[in-house]
Amino acid sequence: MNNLTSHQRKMVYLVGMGLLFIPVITLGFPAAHSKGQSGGTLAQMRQEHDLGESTLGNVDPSSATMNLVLLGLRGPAACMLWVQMDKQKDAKDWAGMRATTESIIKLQPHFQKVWQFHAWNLAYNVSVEWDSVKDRYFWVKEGAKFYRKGSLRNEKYPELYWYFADTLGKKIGRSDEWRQFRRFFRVDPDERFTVNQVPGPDLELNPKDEDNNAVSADWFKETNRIMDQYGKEQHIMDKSLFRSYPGRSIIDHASSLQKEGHFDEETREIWAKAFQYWKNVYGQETWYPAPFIGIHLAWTKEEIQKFVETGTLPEGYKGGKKQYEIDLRSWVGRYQNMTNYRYWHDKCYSEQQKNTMEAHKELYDALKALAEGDTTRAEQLAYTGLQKYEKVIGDEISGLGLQDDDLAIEEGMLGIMTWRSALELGNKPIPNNFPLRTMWVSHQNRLKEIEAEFKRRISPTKNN
Amino acid sequence: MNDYDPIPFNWLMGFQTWGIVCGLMFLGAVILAFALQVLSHTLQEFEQIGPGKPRRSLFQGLRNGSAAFANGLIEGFQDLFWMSPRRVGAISVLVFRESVRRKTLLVLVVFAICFLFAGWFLSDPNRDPLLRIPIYVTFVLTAISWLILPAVFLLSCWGLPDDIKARSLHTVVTKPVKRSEILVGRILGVTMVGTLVVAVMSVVGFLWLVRALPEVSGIQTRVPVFGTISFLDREGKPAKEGINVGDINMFRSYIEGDTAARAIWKFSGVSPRLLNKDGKLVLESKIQGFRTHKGNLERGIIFQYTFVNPTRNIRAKFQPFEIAEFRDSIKPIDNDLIDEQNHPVKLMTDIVDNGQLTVEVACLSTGQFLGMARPDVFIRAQDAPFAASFFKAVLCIWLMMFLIIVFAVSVSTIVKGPVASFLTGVIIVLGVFGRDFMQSLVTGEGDHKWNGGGMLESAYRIVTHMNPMVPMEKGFWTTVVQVLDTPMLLFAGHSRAIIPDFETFQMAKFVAHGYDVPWNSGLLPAIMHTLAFLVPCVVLGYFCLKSRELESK
Repeated sequence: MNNLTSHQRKMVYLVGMGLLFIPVITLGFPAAHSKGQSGGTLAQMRQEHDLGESTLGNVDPSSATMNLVLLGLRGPAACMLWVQMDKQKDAKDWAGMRATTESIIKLQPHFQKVWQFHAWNLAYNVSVEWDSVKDRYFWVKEGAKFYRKGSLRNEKYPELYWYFADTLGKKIGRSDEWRQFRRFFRVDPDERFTVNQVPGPDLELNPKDEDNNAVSADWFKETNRIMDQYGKEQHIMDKSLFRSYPGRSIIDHASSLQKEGHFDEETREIWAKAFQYWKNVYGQETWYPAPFIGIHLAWTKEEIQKFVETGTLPEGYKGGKKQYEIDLRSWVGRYQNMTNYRYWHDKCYSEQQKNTMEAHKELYDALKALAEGDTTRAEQLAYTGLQKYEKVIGDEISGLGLQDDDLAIEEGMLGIMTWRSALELGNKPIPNNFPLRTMWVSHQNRLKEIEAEFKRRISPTKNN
Repeated sequence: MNDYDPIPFNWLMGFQTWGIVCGLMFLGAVILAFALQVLSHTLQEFEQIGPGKPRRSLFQGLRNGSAAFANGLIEGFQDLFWMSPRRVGAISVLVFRESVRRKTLLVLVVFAICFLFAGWFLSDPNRDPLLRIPIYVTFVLTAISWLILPAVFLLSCWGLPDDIKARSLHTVVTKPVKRSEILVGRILGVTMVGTLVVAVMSVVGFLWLVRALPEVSGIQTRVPVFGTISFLDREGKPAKEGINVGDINMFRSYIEGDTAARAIWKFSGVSPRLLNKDGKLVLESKIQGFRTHKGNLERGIIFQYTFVNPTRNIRAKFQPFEIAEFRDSIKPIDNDLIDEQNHPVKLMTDIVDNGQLTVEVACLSTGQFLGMARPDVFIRAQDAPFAASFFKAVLCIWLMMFLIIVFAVSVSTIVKGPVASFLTGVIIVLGVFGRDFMQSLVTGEGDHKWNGGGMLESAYRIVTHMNPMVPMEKGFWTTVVQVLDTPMLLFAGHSRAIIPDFETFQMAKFVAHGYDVPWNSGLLPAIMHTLAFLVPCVVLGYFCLKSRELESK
């Protein structure tokens, strides 16, 4: 082939290899360990774009090993596992499906949609396949834990934190099985969480033994903190809504307690806490909806006026102060409408009032007494409850936001139905005049729908 | 075991299929060998007698060829039936030594590495044991299968061709050793190596399992006695099956609650030996529920067993209970029952009729459904230890390994190492993944139902870019293409009879879910499957080796 000897050829190869090593070393030099060292080009780029394993979140050695060992076959392997997982789900092989899910996630540890898909699958789709509510709760927890694990692996990104908080709040607090799930959140049916013969919560999800909505609210706050700290965007919803979730969770906490019949000081305090958060934390966040415009949701008309009068116009703004005030008011209005800010503000304010709580309690107890067959007590409680509720709704302070609130109207109508049913069952005539009569007359169009709800609430639980 | 129905081995059908396939293959081989012998002798006669007397050449060729063929056949069968155990043993030991020299046992190191790092990849140890045990058990059994198979596969495919290439076999055949002994000795030698490796791996695997999951050492595996199932519809009339509630998995069919719908199980061979130590008959169920309304979430869907003696018209109801989906629902049934007329009856004497027990299952929850299939209710006989079930599964892995060795060694008698490896590899791939597809070629149904016709039709569609879902235009050429395709499809489909079904050897599904490996639907099919391939492979391998020119490389 040529005139080189074997030894010479080997030397040429050696030199060639040495030359090829130069770009390999330059590109692939490991990341710098101390200041002043720059690391290889690839390491620098990885750091610059936050693509390194350690910069994304905590490192799972098994995942890293698997990805390394598979070389370029990670994609086909992941596809095969996805198909297998789907088949196992169809065949209701839950153990196999769970194991395959873990394998998939080892191959795609930084693909947030993959985490979200599987966690949702476990918490929502797999849980409903089980008949026992305890088993369903186990799978809801599996889904929530999966979100948590995903958020740790991708700790700078707020989305998985949000979904984790959302599962604790929404899936546990609002699904068909919410009564059982909320109870299990504090007293887990799994015997492994019984300590000294006292059943307790699953500490992985509820380390401080709190209400699910309280834990959810804490995680929503953490989500916002992560967002602030790392400046990463989320792609779930508009930011103004996204940031409202800690407050919404506190509201859910108080509402859930009321749905369970807790109308005490603790519930009022939670409403007060929700109001504080809504007004002083969420309401004070600054939004920049348009150039030169920075607003707070909590701003009132007067506050906007004062802000414009006392401040100076932003540099580059072409209109005058009057126009600036109009712009601010317009944007505040739009944002308040979008986030339903005023409704929740007024609701939190009203619900923390003592007389509101008393009215709720009496209407709730009246319905309960009717369901238990105690018509006399039901009639009395319903009537006094309606009287108090009428006062609350008519009140300038405590009635804020309740006059047009669907839920408030439903509660009032249910109260009237309770009172009327109690009278009918006691063979008593129904008087023409009664508290909240105006509401009863003006909302007759909703009667059918509310009657169905009334029947559902007073009917004893059927045995399947 | 969620959607697996262990069908008992059907002796009649098994032997029938085996007889037909082997008979056809044998007939084909005999005709081919006879034709080759006659042809070869006729050509010799032509050379000797000359072209002037073709009739004589033909006659002589036919006579000599027939005689040679008969001699070869008789000699062959003598070789196969009269082998020296001593010589076979000596060859086996040599093969064993050679395999060890080739560092086959290094597979144990790979196995050790797998187990050292298994904990990294397996599930969270804190999770429900019900979910962990299947994963761990499946991992151990799969690891044993997938590590031993490549090792024996390579040894079997390359051993004999290498010996021929190195002329070491030439030395052996110059000794008074029959070729059948060489073949069987090699099969046994590789099997010995494989057995050693499987034994070590299974014992280590079992100990690892006990260490990783301490609860395993205490668990017992169920020994189920399955019955047959039939259905009554919501009006109490016999039905082929229950209702389809829209579940994507069609394994179970459903009966409606609070109606006359029933699922009826009939168990045969019920005798006092099936009773537990308390004298009770244990019934276990894996029934699944389907709710059409929320109902009472605190309670499961309720169902009830009714024990029936149809001959004496006795019906005794058992107390209703809730389903326990995907969990063990075990009910020990007392011998003393009360019938529907409130008379005391005895289960084993009054209800069981000539060893047959009839159990009706009813759903009592209004508007809810229960899903059932044949294996969902069974009598639980005396439990077996977990170790017994585990090692039965290992035995099936060993049988699979043995089958591959037999096949690969037989193939390597006629072709070289790479071709033998390719052929055996194809057989394994088809046996694992392709049988369902081949079945669908015959029936046109199943998971792998295909569209677009056979080879010719597909070729036409490819060339004309026609979607497989679009029907072919009716006409003369379409008919021709489809008529030609049909026999080819049927041939391809029926060819699956000569492809081993490797699913037969997979017993992890039993062990992982806490079942003993059954004899008639687990071990027996695996043994029969191995024997069914052993006989033709050895005969074929022997004749191939016998006809081979060993001096050529």
